[in-house]
Amino acid sequence: MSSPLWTGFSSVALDPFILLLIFAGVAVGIIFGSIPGLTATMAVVMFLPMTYTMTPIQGISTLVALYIGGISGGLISAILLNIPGTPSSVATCFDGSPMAKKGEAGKALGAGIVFSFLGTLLGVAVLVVVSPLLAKVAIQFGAYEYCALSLFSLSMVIALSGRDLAKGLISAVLGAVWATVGLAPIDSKARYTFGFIELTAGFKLLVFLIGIFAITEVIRFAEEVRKDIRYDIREDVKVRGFGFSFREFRSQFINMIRSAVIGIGIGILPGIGGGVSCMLSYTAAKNSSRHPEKFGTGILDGVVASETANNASIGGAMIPLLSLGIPGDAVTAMLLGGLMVHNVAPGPLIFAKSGATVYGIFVAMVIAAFAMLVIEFLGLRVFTKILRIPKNYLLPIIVVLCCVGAIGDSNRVFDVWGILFFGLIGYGFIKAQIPLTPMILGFILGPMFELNLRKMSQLFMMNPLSFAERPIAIGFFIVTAAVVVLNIRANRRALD
Amino acid sequence: MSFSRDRITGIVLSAFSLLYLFFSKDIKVFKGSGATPLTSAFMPRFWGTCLLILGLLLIFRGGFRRTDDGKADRPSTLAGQKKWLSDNREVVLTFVLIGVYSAFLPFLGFTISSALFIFGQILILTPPGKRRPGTALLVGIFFAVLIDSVFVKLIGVLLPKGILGF
Repeated sequence: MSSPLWTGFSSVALDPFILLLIFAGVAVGIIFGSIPGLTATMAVVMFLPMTYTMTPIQGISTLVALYIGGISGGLISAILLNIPGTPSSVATCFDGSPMAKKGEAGKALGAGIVFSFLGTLLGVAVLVVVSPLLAKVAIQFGAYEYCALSLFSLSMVIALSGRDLAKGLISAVLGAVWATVGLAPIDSKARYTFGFIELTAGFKLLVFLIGIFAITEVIRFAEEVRKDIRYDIREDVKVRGFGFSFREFRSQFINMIRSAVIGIGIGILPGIGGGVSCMLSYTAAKNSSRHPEKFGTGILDGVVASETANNASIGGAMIPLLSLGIPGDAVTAMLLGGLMVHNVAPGPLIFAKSGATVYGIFVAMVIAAFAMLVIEFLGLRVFTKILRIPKNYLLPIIVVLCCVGAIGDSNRVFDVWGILFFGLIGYGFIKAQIPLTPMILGFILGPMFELNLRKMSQLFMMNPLSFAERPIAIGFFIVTAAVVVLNIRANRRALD
Repeated sequence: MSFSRDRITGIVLSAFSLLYLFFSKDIKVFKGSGATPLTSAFMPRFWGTCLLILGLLLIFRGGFRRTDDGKADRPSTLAGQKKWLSDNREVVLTFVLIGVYSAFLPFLGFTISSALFIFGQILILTPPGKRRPGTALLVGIFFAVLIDSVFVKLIGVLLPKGILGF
């Protein structure tokens, strides 16, 4: 049998080296997720250079394992420290920490781990079913559709990334502005290179993301140095079995399904990701509960809602990444960089051109979910100890590793200056209270929008009625307009 | 939310967008066969105009809805700037150190400059009074050598060698 499905499956599941990489990736991801301030994105940034010499499937499996471990690991510090390890675990604190204070840390951790696992599997299941279908539809997309789609994606990011519409727009536009540096699409005319040969190819996605995420994280820590913050870590945690009964599991079934649907849905929408999905699913669980007053006092429902949703959003975020080349959140933006490094071009043709690799990614995600379940249960004591690693020693090493990633990608030191530049921009954004996520999407979607808008202008000049023959594009434009209008209204209401 | 901060942001963004729009005049436009009606200068001008409008919006909003919130940390006077620098010493030093690291990487090579960077950055990120230069130096050397060994010798990533050859 030599179908892409079988090749993908056998290249991952039957290769002990890849299995080792997945287990190691998940373990490292959990460590990154559990330490407050270190995120899944940073784990992917840091380990991306290690994958340079690997085969695409080895490299991408490792990155995906880091992603899954990183999102799940956040629950450990959320429950034990009342500090979310990653933004995806914010809502886990609400009930996880009170449970730990009541002496139910084992139950909270057990439920968090099991429902993270189930959330991941549900997300991957939807990914496996939906992404080939979406790719089939997207294969018919032309300039009109891609132009409309990138505009729609940008409008979603702006609409849902924060309360301040103007600042969301500024962030997205600035992202698109940085992407105009280098050669223009179609006619390859140099723009804003100022005589620097290094700028001819434009700013690299990886350099941009490292600056925005890794450097700003170091700066955030630097701001707090004199406060000498210490955490009170509970190390007396014991989990018997899964930490909760089968009856409790059954009582959470509907909560789990609802949260997974929210997580997957939010994951699919560009630029939003786990942070929003856990909050929305927590709110949905509270609103549909018979005892909403108990939320926040330490009940299982809150932990289940948050952890199912944030892990389900992984599969959701991978859908637009693989099928359309549009990342669903910051980590998938980094994975987009990883796919590019390994010459795997995401988009509608991915199943035709790199089918085996894509199916391999699906298998790697399932294995990573199982690895997460095993590693988190067995290594819980180790992870609580790791929370004590001083970040003042850890962060400088991470910066150096990020620089290795940037240099190794293109063999030039110039990119370290790029990291510094975007670090400064990121810090400026934080100080100005401008959200960072829209800028990432602006940076990725800006060139896609420009390329297709210019192609569209050409098609339109040749046949002005050609636009009327593209119902999908018209649909996207209408939805985009609706999203913008609704968001402006909501913003006005909030300001009043 | 501080609206005085919004006004500063708006001024910076407006100035940047004006510069960005100004330099768009240097973009050469392709006019040959197959040229698109929207040229390579169209999008930069579009984004630049959007940014200018948004920057002006922030100035307008900040000007009319300013509150006292945020005034305290605004470094408008020399004394204010000195205080800001003193309060944010670690932030400024971190940026400076990354700049110095970037500048010295091609000359000192990856291992030496990384060891010095890790050493310096650990000291910056450690609260005063708790700094252990010896430990920081050892950590710096150990990890610089380890990273160099793993990436250069095992993985084959090319990293700057510098004048000493490593």
